[in-house]
Amino acid sequence: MATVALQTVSKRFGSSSHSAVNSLSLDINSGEFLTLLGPSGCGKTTTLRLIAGLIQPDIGRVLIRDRDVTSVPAHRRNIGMVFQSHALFPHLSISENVAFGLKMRGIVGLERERKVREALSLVRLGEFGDRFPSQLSGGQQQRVALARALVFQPDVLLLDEPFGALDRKLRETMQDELRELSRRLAVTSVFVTHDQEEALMLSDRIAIMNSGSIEQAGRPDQIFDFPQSRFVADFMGIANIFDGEIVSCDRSGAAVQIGRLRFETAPSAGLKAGQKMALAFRPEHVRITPDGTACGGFGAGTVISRVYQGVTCTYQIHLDDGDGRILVVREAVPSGACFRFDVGAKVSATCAKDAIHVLTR
Amino acid sequence: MKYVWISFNAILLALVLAPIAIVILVSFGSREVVEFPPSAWSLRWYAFALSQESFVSSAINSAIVAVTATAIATPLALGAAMSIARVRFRGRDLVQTLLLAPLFIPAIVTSLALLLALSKFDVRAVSARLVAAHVLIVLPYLIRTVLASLTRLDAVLEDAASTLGAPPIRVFLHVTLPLIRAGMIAGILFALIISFDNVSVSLFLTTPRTNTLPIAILNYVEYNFDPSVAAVSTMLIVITATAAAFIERTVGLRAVAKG
Amino acid sequence: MRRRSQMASLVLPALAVVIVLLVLPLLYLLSFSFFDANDGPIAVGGFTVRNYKTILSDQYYWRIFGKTLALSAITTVLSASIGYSLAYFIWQQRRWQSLLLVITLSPLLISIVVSSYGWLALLGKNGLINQTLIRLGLVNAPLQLLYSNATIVVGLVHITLPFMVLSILAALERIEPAVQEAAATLGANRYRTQWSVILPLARPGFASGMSIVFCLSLSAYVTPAMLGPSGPNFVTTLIYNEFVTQLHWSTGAALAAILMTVALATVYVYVHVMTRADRLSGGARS
Repeated sequence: MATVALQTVSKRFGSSSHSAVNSLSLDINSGEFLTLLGPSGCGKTTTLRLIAGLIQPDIGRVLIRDRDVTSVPAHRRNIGMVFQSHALFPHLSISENVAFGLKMRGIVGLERERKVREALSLVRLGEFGDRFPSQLSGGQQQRVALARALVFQPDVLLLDEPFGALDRKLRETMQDELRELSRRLAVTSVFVTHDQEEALMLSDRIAIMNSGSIEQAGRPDQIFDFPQSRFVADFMGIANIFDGEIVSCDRSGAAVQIGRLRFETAPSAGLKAGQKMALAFRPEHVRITPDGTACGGFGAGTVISRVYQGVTCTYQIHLDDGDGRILVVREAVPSGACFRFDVGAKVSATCAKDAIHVLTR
Repeated sequence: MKYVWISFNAILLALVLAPIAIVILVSFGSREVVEFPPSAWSLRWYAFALSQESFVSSAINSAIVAVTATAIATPLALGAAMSIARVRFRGRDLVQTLLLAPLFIPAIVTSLALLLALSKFDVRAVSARLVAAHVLIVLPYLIRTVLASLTRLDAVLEDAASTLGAPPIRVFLHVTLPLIRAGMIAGILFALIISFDNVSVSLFLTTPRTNTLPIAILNYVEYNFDPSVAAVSTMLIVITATAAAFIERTVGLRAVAKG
Repeated sequence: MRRRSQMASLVLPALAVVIVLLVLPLLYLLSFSFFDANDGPIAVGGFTVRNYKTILSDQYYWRIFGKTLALSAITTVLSASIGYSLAYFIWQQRRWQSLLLVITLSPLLISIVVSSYGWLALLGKNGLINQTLIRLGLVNAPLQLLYSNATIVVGLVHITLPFMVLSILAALERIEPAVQEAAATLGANRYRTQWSVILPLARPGFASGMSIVFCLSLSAYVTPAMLGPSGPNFVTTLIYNEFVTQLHWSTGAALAAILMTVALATVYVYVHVMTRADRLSGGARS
């Protein structure tokens, strides 16, 4: 039994012609941490709000613990939600904020106090009960928001880009805390973000969304290593995506023609000759050598830019036979910042067969 | 140059205050005629004003009308503002314009129209007529104030309360209302002031027996020009100024008086 | 879904009150303008526009309309100038802003009878101004300051000033401080900045302030009646006379209709101009 199930859910807003969420189906299992990942406007927040019950779908059903909650309003769904702007009640103290959900459920007295204390100590803010939200820092406020959403043991925890407003260092700390907390409590969680690193780090499963539909769903390593479409590859940061055509394919792999360049790929199901598709090459997997020492693959080219990034260095290479295509290559910089190539250097580039991503969509 | 600028504006402000300042000063005169500056100071006109049946009873009437009208208009305004601020329903702009319309229709026209309608339906009780008219007067101000408070309040807080298990009524009671309370109190005080001060609408709906204070002053001035009017006016000014200071301290007058 | 329509229906009581107490009575009143009703609220005969024709062809009515519009226009312009000065001044103040605002808004908070009484005491033959002028030896006999058209304008400027200041102040506060600094770095001295940068940016405030002030001036009843020369000065007094004194309901209603049309037209023009300006300038909302 999936804890949360969305069945062919669609939602359109006002008079707009396109759907924010388009016939989306999704199952989220008990205790699973699932991330809805995608660019702004892809429908991930709308989907989250549909699960929350803050909006109702035009078509389709929403089930929580096998119960059809499609027409059940948010306040009767037993969900906990954390918003990007923490949304703590400014007129209530921290304790009162955390106790709010309990109060709505009629839990009073000593039991309520105990639960509030436990929830606050879970997020390590046990001493802050009497303070008010305006007296806390951004990170502390989000922790209170978490405690408030978890204290009544919701069926599912929903998080809408909760760390978007925090600075980088704080964000990393909070991500660690959230991951630890969610493992410990094993509460089913749905997380929304546009940051692929955050998604990779926190999730048991990721669903990448585009224009109201799920493009690809799977474990983080599956998404990262085996993107199935151009959109997913692009979103996960694979910079070199080139359109091409399959010249021939057999059990040992496929030969793909990209302009004047020809590549051999590893075997992959569902390919046939004449098929138009794209190949993606991770900047980290492309090898460049001083001109003339290697052949095949991308052939020769000229370095047109070099950007130092601390741990790595990114080169842009204009390929001689690339018909204008630019290849992005990233490699580790040994300490001392001695770069292998200067701008204007002539190089050759190749990529290992297994590291080439085949994108049929 | 800077001092010229400051002096210029100071003079402007003095001119704005001048009529009010005069009234206050005149009220402390001791002679029968209005003279400025008063040759001697005295509180006799206050004593006199407070002893005048017409002033006292009309003041009480004004207070009753103001409180009743505001009490009726406040829940109406709350409902209207909640729906306008939180729901994007069809015709919302038209409804909002309609609700704020009383502010733009000439007061005399509003008043006459109301008088006609109330006569036609044989609503004789003057107090009922006055309350009805005053509800119409203060409603737009109240709606505007509550609307301003509601739009300032982030709707996310209401969403959060929903997800925590609060049905709409409890969201309103525990989250919305406490957070707009300051704005509402200021709006209510402003409504009371507006109602108490009103002349143009009350002018046609009052009778010699049932009067409001500003109308009583108007009538008195027609036949007598002594400082008792100034005394009454000063008392009115003091009450109003206190309420205004309170409003300014809490949400600021600009929030309630916006044009 | 249901929750949304439930919440939307919360507006109905207020809407009902406005419709029952304002819209319907207004329609009822205006309906008299299309019938013959010159003896109280009894309409005889059929639908006619004769009342409007009578008014529009009578010099008397044109004169009063003209006076109303002219004095309102003068009030608006004066109010705008004084209002801008005060608004700018208050905008620049940090410390005393609250107090200055209360003072500027005082005409709003005081009943019009009190203001008018104050002007009577100030401008009368024995009023403060005359007494001061005589004491200073500037004049020998008290000046006639009251009961003239100028007095009406003074009174109207006084009561409409708060609205003008509020509108302009709101617009000024929407100007980012960085804009003034940018102007300075680009070489504009204080006067150029004022003229080319601040004034144009305050324009929405002027537009809204002037519309409100013009509307309010047109509709004023007490001020022109109490402070102006005898006889009807403004259309409002005319309306009162026709309805209450003369019982010419059809004339009164027609006058009211015309007055309302002018007032609403002002608001309409303002809204129209503002939304067009919005679209052109890329949406700095007023």
